[in-house]
Amino acid sequence: MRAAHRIAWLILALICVAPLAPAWAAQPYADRVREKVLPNGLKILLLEDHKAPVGVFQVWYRVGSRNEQLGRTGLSHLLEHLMFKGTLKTGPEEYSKIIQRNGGNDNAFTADDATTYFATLASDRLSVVIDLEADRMHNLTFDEAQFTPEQHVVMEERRLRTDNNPVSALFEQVSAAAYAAHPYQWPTIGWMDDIRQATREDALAYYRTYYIPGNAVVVCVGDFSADALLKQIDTAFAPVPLGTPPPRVRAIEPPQQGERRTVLRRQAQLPFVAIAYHVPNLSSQDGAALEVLAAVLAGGKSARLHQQLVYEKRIAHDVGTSYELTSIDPGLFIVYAGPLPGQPVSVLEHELLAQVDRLQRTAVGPQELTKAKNGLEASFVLGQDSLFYQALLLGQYEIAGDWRRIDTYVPSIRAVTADDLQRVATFYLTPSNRTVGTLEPLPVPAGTAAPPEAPPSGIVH
Amino acid sequence: MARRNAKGKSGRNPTFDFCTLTFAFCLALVAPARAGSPPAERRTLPNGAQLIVSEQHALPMVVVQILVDAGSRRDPIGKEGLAGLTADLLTEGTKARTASQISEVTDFIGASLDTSAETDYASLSLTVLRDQLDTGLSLLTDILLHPTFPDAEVTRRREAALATMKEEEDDPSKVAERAFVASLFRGEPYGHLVIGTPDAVRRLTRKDLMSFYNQYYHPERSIITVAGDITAADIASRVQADLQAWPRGSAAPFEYPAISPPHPETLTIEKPITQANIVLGQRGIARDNPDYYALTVMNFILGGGGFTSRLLDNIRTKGGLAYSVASMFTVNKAPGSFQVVMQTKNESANDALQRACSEVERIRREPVTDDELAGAQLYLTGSFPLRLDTISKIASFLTQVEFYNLGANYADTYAQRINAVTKEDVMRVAQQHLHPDQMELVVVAGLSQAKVPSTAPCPSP
Repeated sequence: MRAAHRIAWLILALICVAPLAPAWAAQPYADRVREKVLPNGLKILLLEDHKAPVGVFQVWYRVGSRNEQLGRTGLSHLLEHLMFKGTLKTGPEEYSKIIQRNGGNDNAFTADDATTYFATLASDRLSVVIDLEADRMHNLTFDEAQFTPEQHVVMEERRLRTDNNPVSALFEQVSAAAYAAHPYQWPTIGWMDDIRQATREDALAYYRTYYIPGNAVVVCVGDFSADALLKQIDTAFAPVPLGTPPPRVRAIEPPQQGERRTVLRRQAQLPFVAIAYHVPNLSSQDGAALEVLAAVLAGGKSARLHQQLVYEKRIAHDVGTSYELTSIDPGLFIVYAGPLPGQPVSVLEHELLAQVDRLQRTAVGPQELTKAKNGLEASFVLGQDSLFYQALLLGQYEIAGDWRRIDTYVPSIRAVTADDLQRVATFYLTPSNRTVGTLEPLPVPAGTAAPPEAPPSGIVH
Repeated sequence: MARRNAKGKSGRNPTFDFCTLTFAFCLALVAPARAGSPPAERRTLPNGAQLIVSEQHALPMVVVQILVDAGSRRDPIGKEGLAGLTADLLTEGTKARTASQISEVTDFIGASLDTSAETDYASLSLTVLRDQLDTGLSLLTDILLHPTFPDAEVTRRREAALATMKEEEDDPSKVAERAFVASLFRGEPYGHLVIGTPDAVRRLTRKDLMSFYNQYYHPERSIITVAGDITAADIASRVQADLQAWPRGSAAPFEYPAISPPHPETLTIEKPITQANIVLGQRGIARDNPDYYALTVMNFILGGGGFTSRLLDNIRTKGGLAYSVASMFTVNKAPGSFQVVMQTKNESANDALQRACSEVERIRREPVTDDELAGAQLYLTGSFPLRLDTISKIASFLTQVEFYNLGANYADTYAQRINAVTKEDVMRVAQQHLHPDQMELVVVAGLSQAKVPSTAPCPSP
């Protein structure tokens, strides 16, 4: 084994001589994206990419679960569903029917910071989605007969995603425990009773408040002429009235001053542990270092968590990190592990913390640092294969502040040093700043009935 | 290993609505419009392997896929999971490299190198920046030709597979899928999931893997597809040289045994959950069945077409009973399955089930409308360019076309075949291939609340 390792270093030394070349000298997004803001406030970002006769059209509204309040959680997402219920011109569910008849796919998703609607079509059909999106930006209409079934659909979605999935339920509890003051504490889909109690009037009022052109961004990437497309978009969206700027979110999460722990006890086959730290996002110099740190820990099978917990020690089966560079407000850096059967969750927690400790005490070596950066850079380049991914990047960066920051991603990753990694690990990944969540399985007794659909019992903050 | 978005996003559609279960089904939705077949050069290597090369110069990246006739249909009785574990182990050690060296080099060049088995085949795939293609190809060739299946690595991956299966007991949709497949294809090569069964996997040894590899990993029925920023002549001579030492084998082409008559059963599985997971289905067709195109249209109208499909309209939009409901044919080399899959709260399980039965019955008894037929044909033919808008999708498409012998002009003839389908064809194939009185039913739910018929899930009309 020792000899084998030595050979590994020889091979790697050879590769090291020629690290991942300046593989891709692509033009910056800033030189390729056409930006325009219409008089009604709508921002438009267009990127020509002619490799396939296809276009991706997305509308991003600057509203998500971040804009909600306790007792009204999940409203952003419920409204996303209702946006397909028709307008003064189109009937319920006609949107998707029209897109499909034009050979397109459509869908939508809601997150903390934004709600996004998208369609992918042959690029000569883009006018179809442009007209539909302009229409439903101000003409949405639905009655109780459409509202109530959709509310039940969303409750089924919550059962599917969270209530019947122990690990998802744990992540929900970790966020709920990690934040005291900020809306990132509740799940985007909302708490079950909030979904149940939402009304048609709630949804319509929310729509009128947030769905205005000045609160939206249109992103389109694909095989079109930006000049011509801009004219079409302008014509379609110009009639949408200006509206009043929506209220801004004021909540700021105060610094955490001591470890928080949350335990989820429910029926499950295996335990799970997730440790979350409050960290800054791309608006901080430290964002890039945290991005690289996440890759050092979990950027592949050779990264530390897999090598140590899965491969060497054989205690874990599923390991990883979660960190989002693009967000409006500061988010969480999460390390997590699911054990192999028979391994207690306490051992996993200890090992995850040992990995954090190692990052603080010992500088990451040059080989390992280069590998982490190579992985991030390659993912960024390979991601350009997808029109959808490019549109997603533009939307995410714009929601988080400015789409032009995409161009700083690769340079900022390249600039990260081993000292930076050690510094951010030491500064942010501290005991006082962490929330530890564990899933503790209760045995599944044979022949038991389902639990009542209440918040899961046994949650300890 | 993984990067997870812990907070997650909630969306309108389950992302798996359109392409579920198998690659082959996704192909069902591939329809040509004006784009036609991607450029491809085909040749047979001296050792019998098929090589397909498609030059795509939009991005400095390359995708390589290798299909080998070593899928789980080849698992011997009592060794269910052998094909899957063998594919897993390819990356875990060769004559020249340890498992750690393979993952280290892969991660260092920012590539992804994946191996897996499906029912009909095993596949190896490499995605890599062009500048790192040499290193990537060396790794790929090495793991294909010289895997050593070290004992310690076999133990690790066996434990991981067992842990995955344990974890999947908490995933009701997986529990339902496993039970459905085992019941429908009982005693047949398709009668188990690729990952196998815990009992069988626990007993698999290095010797089993070596022997499976030696028997089935040979070039004569293999397909190698390279798509990306390469020149066809260069890559062909490189691949040919690399694979020169790959010897032909002696395994006979696979023959699926005689299919026994249907033996429909209703299986109910108790879980302490709030939502019932329902699979209703029966034997489907093989990919070479001439009714494939009419069935594709029929299934789109019944439950494959998302929001325009009858099942979704009835059960989700009108009933508010489910977030996700779809029907699908899994088409393989031998006849696969037809399934209606949905999730609904325990209490409405029977309501949703009866609605599904009545829609299956209706499409057998009444012609579809002109509007429905046109909608299906417009989508299936018009969405073709979307299926070929990335290099990865092009590589998969070319590989699948070759594997299922669809012909080099497949993309150019698909629209014509779909457009030739008539309302009478739709009703004929529904009557011929859907048999409500022979449906299997699997329900995973809190059974005290989820009441379903104990036999004959779909009542005779």
